[in-house]
Amino acid sequence: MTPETRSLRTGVLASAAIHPNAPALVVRGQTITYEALALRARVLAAAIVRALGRPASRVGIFAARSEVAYVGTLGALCSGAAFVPLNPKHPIERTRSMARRAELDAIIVDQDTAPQLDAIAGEVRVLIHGDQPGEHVPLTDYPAVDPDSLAYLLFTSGTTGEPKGVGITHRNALHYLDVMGARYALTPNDRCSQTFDQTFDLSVHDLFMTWNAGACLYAMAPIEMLAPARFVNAHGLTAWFSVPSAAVLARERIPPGSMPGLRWSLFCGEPLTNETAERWQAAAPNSTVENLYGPTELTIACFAYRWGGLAPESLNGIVPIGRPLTGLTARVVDEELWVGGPQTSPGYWRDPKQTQEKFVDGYYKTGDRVVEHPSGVYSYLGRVDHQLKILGFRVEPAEIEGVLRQQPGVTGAVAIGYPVAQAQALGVVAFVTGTIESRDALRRAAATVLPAYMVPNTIVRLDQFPLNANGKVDRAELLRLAAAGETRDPIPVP
Amino acid sequence: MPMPLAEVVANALRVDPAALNDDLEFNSIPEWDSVNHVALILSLEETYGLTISDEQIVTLTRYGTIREFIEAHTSTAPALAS
Repeated sequence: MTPETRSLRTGVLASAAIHPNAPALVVRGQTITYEALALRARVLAAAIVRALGRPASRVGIFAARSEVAYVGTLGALCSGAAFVPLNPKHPIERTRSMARRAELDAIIVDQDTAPQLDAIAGEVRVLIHGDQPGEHVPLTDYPAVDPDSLAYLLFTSGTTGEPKGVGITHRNALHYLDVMGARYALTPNDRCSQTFDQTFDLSVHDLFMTWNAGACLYAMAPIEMLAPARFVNAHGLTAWFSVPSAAVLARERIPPGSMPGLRWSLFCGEPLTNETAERWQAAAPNSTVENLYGPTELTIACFAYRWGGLAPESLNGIVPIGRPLTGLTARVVDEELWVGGPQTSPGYWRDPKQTQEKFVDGYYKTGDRVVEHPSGVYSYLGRVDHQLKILGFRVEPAEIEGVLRQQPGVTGAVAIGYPVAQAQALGVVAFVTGTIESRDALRRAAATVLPAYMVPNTIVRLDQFPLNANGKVDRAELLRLAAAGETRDPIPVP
Repeated sequence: MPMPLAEVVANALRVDPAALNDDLEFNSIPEWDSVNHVALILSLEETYGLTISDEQIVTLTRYGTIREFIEAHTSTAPALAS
């Protein structure tokens, strides 16, 4: 028998074979061993493959921070499929649209999302309740996986007004895991945080870096992230990975020396300020702090910088993004960062036009403005477009603006990131033109299609948008208006 | 006399005080997100002169729980040494 081609599931299944009784996952107070994780995944895989009568291509995981969310991810991979995370916190209309566009073969739900199943059932052939998958002999003959087939498909905010799918292959993901596996050298004694929603690709680092090493993953509830030291110490975590915003929000609750057990402190998803890095380093003095950088299209992260105090390359109070990971190549074209190599996604799902625009000559055009210093270290400067990061979530203002413009009476809409703290946008303020009856009704309408972090906190009506010298909407002026008018509500709320 | 609790919570969450009820909880409405929860905890500390522990920040996630907590900590009865 020839050994199976290596894919994203391989490392986890190897860990399960080597230390079956070690804890793989702690979620909602339950500890799941590697043996149980693998067994439950194989049962789910069996349920999927038998219902379809063939290996699956794409399986939706409609669950969050539950046993099923994690077991289901591995189950999807064991069924031969790419996993497609769907976020129960997002409006069901958005989830249904993603399920349809992803052309799912099957969808796995947990007890939290099962009640919502009716709303999306029409989009898939096979529905599996991850907590009660039925009696199935666990799958042992896993369907073969082509390394260039998709390991996961994620939807990210799109400039055309609807989310776009980014497909990442097994080869892409394995390159990242191999490089970072060597960099961090996690062991079965490590205990790693799981802070990211699974619809955020940084969660792939959490699950597979941890499980490849035979370490244990600790799923955190969103509220627990506001008091990180409490969680880190209660569970003896050794590795932390979150968006910098988590550290910013918790800044009053991470006094110096409060997390002595951490040995790795990783941040990614948005700019990390020197102040935040310094504060976290003081709180976790025995850990190495790293700033990672990378869009979904380049597989989790493609640059890394090791914090060692204020860097000479630091610009605008921001920690540099460092150097490309081993095996990747970077170019700077008119200030824009292009990255090529084995982590570059094959492109946008079922969207050759946008793929052609953004993927050029083997490089992905990140839309991020950077400068390369003589030391070879890169610093992030900003965006070439208006893309925002809200608490680390990638947000295209055009998607919010598109939704607002569809509402009755609205003739124009511009969304900006506001307020901004520590170089990070914490919310969205939208400016609209036209006649609107109620700001709250407009917000409620937006909330039926947009995830909470994209729903404007404030909507301000203007007679017309301020324009800059080029005749374009002056977003800097809108930011000033937002700052000046924070307590003013120009639209009466009925 | 400190500001009434409903007003403190409504200001921090940026919602209408009329929208508050004991069952309203963290993440049940878009306004009660992590950012506003931190703002709310800071407001409670400032308004009532309290120190809210890490343990409390993760359990004070329902309006009813917060109301009971504040009532217990702002009681006019003579405080007993604990």
